[in-house]
Amino acid sequence: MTTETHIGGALLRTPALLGIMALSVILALAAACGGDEQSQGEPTTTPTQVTRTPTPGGTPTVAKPTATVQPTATVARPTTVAQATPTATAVVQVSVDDDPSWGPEDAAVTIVEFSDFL
Amino acid sequence: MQTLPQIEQAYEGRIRFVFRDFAVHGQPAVKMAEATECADDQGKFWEYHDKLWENFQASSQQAQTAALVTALKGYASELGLDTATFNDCLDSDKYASEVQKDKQDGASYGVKGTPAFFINGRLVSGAQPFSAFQQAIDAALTGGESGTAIPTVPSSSG
Repeated sequence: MTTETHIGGALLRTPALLGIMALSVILALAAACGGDEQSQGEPTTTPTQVTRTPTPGGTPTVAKPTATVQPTATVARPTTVAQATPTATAVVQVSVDDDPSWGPEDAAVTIVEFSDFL
Repeated sequence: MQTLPQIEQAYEGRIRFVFRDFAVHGQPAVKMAEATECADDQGKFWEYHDKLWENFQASSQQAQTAALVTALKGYASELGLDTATFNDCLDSDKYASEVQKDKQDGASYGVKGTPAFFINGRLVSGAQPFSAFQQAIDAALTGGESGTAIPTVPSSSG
């Protein structure tokens, strides 16, 4: 007994349709039991994020690897250290005016302070 | 200012120390600088200078110039100065222009804050520990920097 069925405008016979459906089920089962063929054979951009998600149709789907931002090496910036010594500064011709002082006028070293009292 | 006595003790006879005004903290700072100049008229600059530092806390809290002037006159009395002369000096702003000139000179040398020190002409900014001064002074004493020309310019205002 044959039954004619219209599917998408094509004329198919039932035994042929059943055969195709059976083949599809077999292929689906084979894919389900096939392990990690998809993840094993393909290079991944990252070693993580490959996950399997069950679907109602039974066909496993592989989540796309997500792009991850690799931590970049940070280089500490050199900090500027205030120089306490006067060696890094230019010599300024500083007038002592006639302001108050102590120590010999012909001393090898003259220190001139500019300051207030607050 | 704890470093100054240490410098004086460690390098007595080998250094000359000069104090110039750089009154940047408002009118009270200007008045205090004028007071030290008035004390200098009577040969008591350093005594008055030390007196101000001893009373720094009290002086810095004198927000009103009038109250500060009263305190400054009191310090003169405590140091045995001729108070009438001192008071006239302070009240007349005798050294206002001198104090202003010092500030202008300091600014022209690159001083931007207080305290600032020039050790044989090399700027050392800020309150530094004695060790920093020791290093700089020793370098000046042994590094051939002695003789750095530091012209003595007569004051035009006092």
